[in-house]
Amino acid sequence: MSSRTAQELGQLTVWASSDWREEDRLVALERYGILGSAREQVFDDIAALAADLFDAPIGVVNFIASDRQWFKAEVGIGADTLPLDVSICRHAILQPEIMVVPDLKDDPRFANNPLVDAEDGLRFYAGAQLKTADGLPLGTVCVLDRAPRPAGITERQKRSMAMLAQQVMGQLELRRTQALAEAQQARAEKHSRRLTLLARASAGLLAASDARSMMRQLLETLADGFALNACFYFAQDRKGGRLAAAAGLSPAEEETAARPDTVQGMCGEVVRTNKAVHRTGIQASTDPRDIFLRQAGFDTYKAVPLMAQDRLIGILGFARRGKPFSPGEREMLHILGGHVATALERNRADADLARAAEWLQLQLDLSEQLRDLTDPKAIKAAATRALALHMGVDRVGYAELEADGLHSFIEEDWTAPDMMPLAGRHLISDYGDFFLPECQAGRAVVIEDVDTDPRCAELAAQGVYAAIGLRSQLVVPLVKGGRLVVLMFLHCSRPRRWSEDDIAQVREVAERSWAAVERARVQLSLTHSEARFRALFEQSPAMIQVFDTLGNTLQVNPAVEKAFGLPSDVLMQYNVLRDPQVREKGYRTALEEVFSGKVRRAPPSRHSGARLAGHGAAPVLETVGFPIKDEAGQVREVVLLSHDVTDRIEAENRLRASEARLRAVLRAVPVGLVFADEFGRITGGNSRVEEILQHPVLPSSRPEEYGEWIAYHPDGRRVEGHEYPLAKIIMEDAERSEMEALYQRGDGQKVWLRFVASAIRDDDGTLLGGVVATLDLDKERRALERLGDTSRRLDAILANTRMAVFMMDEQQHCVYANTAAEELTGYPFGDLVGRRLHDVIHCKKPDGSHYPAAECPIDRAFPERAQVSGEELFVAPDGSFYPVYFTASAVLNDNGEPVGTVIEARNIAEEKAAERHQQLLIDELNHRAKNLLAIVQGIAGQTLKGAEPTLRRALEGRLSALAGTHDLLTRTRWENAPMRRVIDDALAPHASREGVFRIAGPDLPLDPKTAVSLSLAMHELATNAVKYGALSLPDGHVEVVWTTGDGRLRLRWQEHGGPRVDPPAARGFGSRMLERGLAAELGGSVRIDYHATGVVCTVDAPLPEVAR
Amino acid sequence: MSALRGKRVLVVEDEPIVAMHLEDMLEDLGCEVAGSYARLEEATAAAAVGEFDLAILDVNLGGAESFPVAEVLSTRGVPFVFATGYGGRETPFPQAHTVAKPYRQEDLERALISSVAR
Repeated sequence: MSSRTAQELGQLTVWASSDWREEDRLVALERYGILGSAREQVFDDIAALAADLFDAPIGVVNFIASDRQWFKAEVGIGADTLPLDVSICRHAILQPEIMVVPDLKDDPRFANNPLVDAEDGLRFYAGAQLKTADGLPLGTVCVLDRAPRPAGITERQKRSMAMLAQQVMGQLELRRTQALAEAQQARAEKHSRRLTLLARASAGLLAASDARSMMRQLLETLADGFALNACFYFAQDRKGGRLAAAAGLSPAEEETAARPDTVQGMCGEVVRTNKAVHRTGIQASTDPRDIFLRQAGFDTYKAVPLMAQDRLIGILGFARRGKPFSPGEREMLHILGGHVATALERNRADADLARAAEWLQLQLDLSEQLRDLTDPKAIKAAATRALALHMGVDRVGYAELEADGLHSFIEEDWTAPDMMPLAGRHLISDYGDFFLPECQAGRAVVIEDVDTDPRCAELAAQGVYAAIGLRSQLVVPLVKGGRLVVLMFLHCSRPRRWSEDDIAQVREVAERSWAAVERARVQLSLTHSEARFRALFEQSPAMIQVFDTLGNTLQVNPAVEKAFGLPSDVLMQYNVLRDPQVREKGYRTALEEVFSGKVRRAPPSRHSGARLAGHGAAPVLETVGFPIKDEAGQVREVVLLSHDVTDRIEAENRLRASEARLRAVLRAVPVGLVFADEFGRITGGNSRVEEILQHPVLPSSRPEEYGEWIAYHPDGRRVEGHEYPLAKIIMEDAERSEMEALYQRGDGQKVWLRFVASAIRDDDGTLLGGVVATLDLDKERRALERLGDTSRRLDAILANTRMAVFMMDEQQHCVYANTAAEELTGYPFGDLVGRRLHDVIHCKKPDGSHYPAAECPIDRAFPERAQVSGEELFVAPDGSFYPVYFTASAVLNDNGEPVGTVIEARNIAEEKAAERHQQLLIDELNHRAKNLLAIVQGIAGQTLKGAEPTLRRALEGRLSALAGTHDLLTRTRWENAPMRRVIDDALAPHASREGVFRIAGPDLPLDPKTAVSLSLAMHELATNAVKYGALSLPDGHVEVVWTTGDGRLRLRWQEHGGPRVDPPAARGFGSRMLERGLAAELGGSVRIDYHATGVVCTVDAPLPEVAR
Repeated sequence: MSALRGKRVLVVEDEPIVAMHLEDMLEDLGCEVAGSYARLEEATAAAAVGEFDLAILDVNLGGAESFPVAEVLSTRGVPFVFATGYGGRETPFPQAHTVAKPYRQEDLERALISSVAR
């Protein structure tokens, strides 16, 4: 066999049959699992039976494998395998049913078979196929004899042979069915063992009282079945995951496992994907997530998500030191996860339901209790007690904030039997600085354990909390209208966890009960205030009438009865809305407004009260009315409060009449009058006195405006203070005193005045003050009148001009401002007069800094005796700025000394805005034009693509020159462009180094069209020079020189140092542009001469109009 | 030329014809046009992620200014050049060159080289 090549074997094993394929046959054979199996009695018996039946020495049950013929049973051979090349049966399975060879030696297929050819070799063969139900032959039952049997076999033998073969197949089928059943059984048992384990594990989990024992239980149950070394349970809630319990770890390992980074490593992926994670080969892994597992010696880790309604509620982790979890194990662990999740969720739902029911009961109880209570204290007691019992805490109370916002007051708190009550006043920060800020923000303060909460560490160390038996607390603040009103606190003497539900429930109880407390308090205070109001009503000297909305009297106080001398039952008949005597229109309107509820309080309104008095003089009443509205804003009642003001009105009227008379007199007299009190202080007077003195005299809010009185006696001596007539009245007790003096007026002019003073005394002769009359003695009335004319005209101009005009005195204080000035500044003249204008409207710079008057250009006019103008920013009353154009001119007296300044100003905000707008438009227009040029360039570039690159360059250059000129014109606002700039700009791009262009000529303004033509012309000349002319050589240069004279512009372009010039054969765009375009534009002549030494271009044209 | 050879250039220009012309110029200069955008949003997005050695930004993109693109490029350290039809208008990026439209290849080359050299 070993000497045969694979190829030979291959040929041998290629079987041919029209009914089946060899592959299918081999697969079928494999399925029965018969090859290589141990000997079995039943097959041995068949082989023996076959030999017996034919009385043959050899009987065989065999199968044809891919590489050999194998004997399941045999008699007379003593081997269990034959090589295929000597197999006779392999031929038999190609025959239908039964093959009989009477003499093998006569059959060419077998004549050379060594088994046949040998001495005492095989001569006779009869074999029946072992055929599967679908017709695949697996082998044969056959008999062999060493003697030929020319008679072959009988029909009976044939049938027996076939039956034996069927018997073998029956045995095979039986075997196979049994094997299948056993395998299934084994799998089912394994599965069921695991399921039992899982069921036990799940049951154990749910029975466990806490997560830790749950994990221990899990590990215990699964340790053997799953070869587990550790279990983890990570609880997952809104705040994230944490290790709730673990089993199989040392305390140190457990501590590490609980660290957030470890939890992240073990759970992160599950949290992210909600899918189980299976990590293997951890000892060899370098994954940072596996650090903990690696260090703890695990090699395999499986994490299973616990899902409840698509929500991750936790993660179970399993770790072992051994091989990866098999698919079966993984599936089991998933199922376990499902059980645990369902159970956890159900337990939680049950607990929630129970709590909700309990809560509802509390709410119902509390509502019932609160409804019947009217005493705030009793309400608090009921709520605190109910809450304490529901929450299972040791102390509950309300701490009300005091007005200082720092202290709280506890009226009474509910306490468990051994807890200390905290009733009394407390400084809130005594219990921790963090309380107030949190509470003021409306946030509950939750402290699970004062011994571990870092916020409490300091005070806990001082024993503050221990002193009041406090370990855990929940404080819920109530904030009303942005103000912290009350804190509801729940204290526990042992650590406690506070859930979101706890907080929400406490908040609800706090809000509801506190609302009840407040309602009860309002009720109490209403009761008190009603008593107070009753007393006021009875005792008030004012008349109080209360009406319903129809005007019927509901109540009157004794003052009304007293005022009208009528009993209250008569007064109660009165209807104010139907009173025909209420005829004063103002009063009527006021009443209507009050009754309709339109006003909250009608202003005092005076009216005749005769309607009730019925006799005697009609009293005048002053009445205030106000509606009393219900909560919905509907008017329920109207109250009228009235005083008898008859006497007061008479006194007022008398005083007013006398004042009016005095004012008329003061206005009418042609003399200036002032009044002074007994100390000589001026208390009043007429305006004439200031006209005469030309400085302020009368009392004003600005005492500094009192001018100094400067007067001279006829002999030139200065009048001293005590010499004035008023001084003689006040200080020397004179009845009358007079004086003539040369008075220096406020405007600096000196005029002759007469002062006459007279004492004012009361009936007892006590001095009350004095009156001083001032007369202008100046006789030059005519001059005055003339002046009056001038000033009237001036007034008319100043009043009507749109230009703001200010006048300043030598102190730069404003002495005049016209209407336009008031409009410009937004200040009335009264606010400007006497003040430095700079301080009022010019004191700030736009950046908010102070603008010192010393830097102000307006104020320079005065010291420099000059006229100054310019633009400045003034400050409006509202602090905004506005631009003005101003002119400040110094006013000089006859001696040429500056005595003041006239300032004209005009608001130029609109002009500025228009200017900006125009600039913007120009910019935009230019931008668009340039964009258009860019597009033209683009189109040309695309069109010329593939053409000579110089063409494109030339076009780019021309467009660029055009755009440059365009820019220049934009900067000069399309008015005139300076010729020098136009030429400089056009040539600059062509200057490869300094001194290439030598440009000289007077600067002329050029109109836009000329500028564009000249610019393009210069560009063409320069381009040509760079390409062919002077600038194509390193030493070449160009002179551009122009002159003006005789009203003509002469420009010369001369190239030097270039190569020899030959006139061009044809005229290009450049020369046409120059000779036609520029010439036409300038209205002159342009000549280009191609001198051998260099191109010369001359322009001779009339001077452009704008330059003349 | 050598300074620009093989440079990957971001083109931001809202006028298609001008953009085409600009791309041709860039290719003549040996650059590779690595992206060409007409709209601000697209250009900003591309500037944030694309690999560019430099960029040319039209200041005015259909009414919007291209400064956000420049902002992104600045942060990424990609040099850029502005192109504008507004003569001499200032941009908030004093370090960037501005070429005035219409520009010649030489103007463009000069601006690009000095922005790359920076």
